[in-house]
Amino acid sequence: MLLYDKYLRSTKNLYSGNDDLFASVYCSNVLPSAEKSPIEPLLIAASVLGIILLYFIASLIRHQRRNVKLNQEKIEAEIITLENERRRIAADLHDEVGPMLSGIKLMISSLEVENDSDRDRIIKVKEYIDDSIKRMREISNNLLPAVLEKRGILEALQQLFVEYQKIHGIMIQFSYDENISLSSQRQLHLYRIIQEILHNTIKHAHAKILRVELLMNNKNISLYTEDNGGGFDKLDRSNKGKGLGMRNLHSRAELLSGNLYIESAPSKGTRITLNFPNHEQDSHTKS
Amino acid sequence: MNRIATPKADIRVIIADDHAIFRDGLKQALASEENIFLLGEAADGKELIQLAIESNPDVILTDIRMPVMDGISATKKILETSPGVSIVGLSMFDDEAHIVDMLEAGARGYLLKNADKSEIIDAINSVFHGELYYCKHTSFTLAKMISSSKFNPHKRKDKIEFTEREIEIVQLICEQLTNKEIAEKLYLSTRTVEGHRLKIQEKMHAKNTAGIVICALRLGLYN
Ligand SMILES: Nc1ncnc2c1ncn2[C@@H]1O[C@H](COP(=O)(O)OP(=O)(O)OP(=O)(O)O)[C@@H](O)[C@H]1O
Ligand SMILES: [Mg+2]
Repeated sequence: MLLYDKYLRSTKNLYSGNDDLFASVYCSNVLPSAEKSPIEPLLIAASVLGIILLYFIASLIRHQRRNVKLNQEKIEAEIITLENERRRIAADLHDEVGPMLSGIKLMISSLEVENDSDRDRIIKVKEYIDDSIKRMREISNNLLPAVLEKRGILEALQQLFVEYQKIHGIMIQFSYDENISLSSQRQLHLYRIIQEILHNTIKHAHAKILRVELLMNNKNISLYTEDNGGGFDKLDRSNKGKGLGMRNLHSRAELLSGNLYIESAPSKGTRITLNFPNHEQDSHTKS
Repeated sequence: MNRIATPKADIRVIIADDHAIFRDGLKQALASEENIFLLGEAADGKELIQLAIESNPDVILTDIRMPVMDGISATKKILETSPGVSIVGLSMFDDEAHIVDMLEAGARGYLLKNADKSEIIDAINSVFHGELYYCKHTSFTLAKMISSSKFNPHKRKDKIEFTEREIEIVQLICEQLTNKEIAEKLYLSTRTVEGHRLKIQEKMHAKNTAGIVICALRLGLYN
């Protein structure tokens, strides 16, 4: 409020101070127009046109900026909706369907049959239920790793890396600052970013080693990853628009108010750096 | 399973889980056991505490995550008043963190919900006889978490002595090799490895591979 008052006062001063100026400009415009020269109307028209054009360009830029911002907000809203849905589905699968299938398996196991072929059938059904439970687990965990919310990002990442090393035979060197702790929203974004980098490394880089560093100083958290794989040409258009991975990487970095740098070249591997403030900023509150 | 050979003491059990279907399955699985008597069932932690006070069971099988009150809080409360009861936590596969909390709260064992009927029976009998029970399907991550947790109810009176060979085999067991694979690796017969494994299990008071791995991690035989 105080600021606003001050502003008003200062603008008032400005206006009142400029009163004479306006008058003189007005006069000088009116007076010479009595003796018409052919260039002057042209000049006036040109400057009016120029002003209109300038205004037009300015509002175009403003519009464009607003569009970019709106678009970014839209993507962010999309991501948040997506994550909420994922969380709900993962929880429902895990908490509802899992125990049901387990209960059904126990019931089947307590059937007592004389017939050998029936017994075989029961064993088969049990195996099928086990497979369903296993599959359900994978689906639920892909949607949202339970450990992330319970034990935080560091343990979630360790589990993720152990699993990927086992399944994909890639070596992942993970070093981190033990004191890192983030709000659940923010650690989810960071987790997804690292997950996408890992997916891309497996899917595209054919790397043997992926190094992941997660460091913290009092103001910033930085993520640094480096693979020794094939790399890619960032400017190559055939890479653009292929997947959603990179787009989401940038949006999530934005959500963390962070800066993302991707450095890659064919057969040179890929290095990705993300710096973001340790504490939540207000930059994303609705304006 | 030859349970007829030795007459068994009766074990009085209550179960708690918020899913009726799972309770039903559990009930039917226990019904065929001669020495197990189901005293009642609860749908959440609060009901469980009430039921435990009323029926004074030997063993409680309880889900860890439940509405109203979870199995961890219920376990703590129950053990305050009746420290003699043996509690086994039940959980879905990837609830490692909760399983550790459950053990730290005083549970004597845990089972994953997709465990077989025979394993559930095994677990009930084990904890009833004062042993610990780790589920067969324990992941290495969970084993690590348990071994480094505050849960450490083993009696550490006598130090366990292992032979070189046994230590070698323990390490291979921790790497999830089967008896056959261990035999091939060490140029032994599978029978010999089986013998060593039994000896190791006996020394560690372990019921299964999970028990061996957790004990090995705790003793620093493998890391
Ligand atoms: N670490 C990497 N090594 C080599 N190439 C990469 C790497 N990361 C990304 N790329 C290249 O960049 C392209 C775009 O990646 P992006 O993650 O956006 O899409 P995607 O992985 O193909 O699909 P999606 O992520 O939607 O499943 C990839 O198709 C790949 O060619
Ligand atoms: Mg990708």
